[in-house]
Amino acid sequence: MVPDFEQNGHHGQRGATLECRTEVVSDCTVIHVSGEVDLATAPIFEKALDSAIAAPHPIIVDFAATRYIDSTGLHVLLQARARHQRAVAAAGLTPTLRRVFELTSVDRTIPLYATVAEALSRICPASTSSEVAGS
Amino acid sequence: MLAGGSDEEAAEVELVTGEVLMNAHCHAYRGRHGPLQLDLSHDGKKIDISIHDEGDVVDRGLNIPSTLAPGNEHRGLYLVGKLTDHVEIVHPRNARGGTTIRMVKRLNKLRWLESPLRLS
Repeated sequence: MVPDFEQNGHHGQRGATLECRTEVVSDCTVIHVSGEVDLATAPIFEKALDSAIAAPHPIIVDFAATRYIDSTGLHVLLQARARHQRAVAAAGLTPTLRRVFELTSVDRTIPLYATVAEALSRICPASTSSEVAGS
Repeated sequence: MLAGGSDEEAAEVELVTGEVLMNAHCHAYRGRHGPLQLDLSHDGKKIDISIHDEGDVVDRGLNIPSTLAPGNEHRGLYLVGKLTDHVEIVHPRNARGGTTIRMVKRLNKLRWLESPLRLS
């Protein structure tokens, strides 16, 4: 399957950069988040999640290229989970980000996976290995 | 990393500093612009950060929650408490109001060196 891409490259109000690229793999929406999620850039993250929620697919948020997320970003993610009828998962977190998710108990609502491939295999078993490798 | 700590400690210092600055912006200044002063020092064992604002008095008081609120409120300040070794809040800090939040974070490497269970 050829993935569909939607890319949003943005600068926050105070210069912080966040880019969200959305990819559909089989029946999963994968949002690749690059940069910093904070008060200034959270609306960009929220917009990407809102677009993904419009589709009837589980959502995997790939944080492998995310350097920083604060409580604003966690709030946006939890709000999206509350509105979405399907699963929302997180993948690729750095040790610091993982600790933040665990300390705030976000991991009780948003399951964490080491990689997007692992998340896809758990949440979207229909995805093939070739599609996963290219994610 | 600054002051000889690890990259993870640097990320944690950045996060707690950002949370306190955001708290000042959103609550003390209610989303408006206002002066902020950040003092940072280290003595080789710990990092000491103080952030001062001149904003409004927060009606409900200001404290570091020891547990997460059910409605997910104050998650940022809860993180500040979890990722630092000591937090103190001076509020109001003078007759005009304002708040000072001081955070102290010990460096992990020194925790290991000071451990009584250290292997020779």
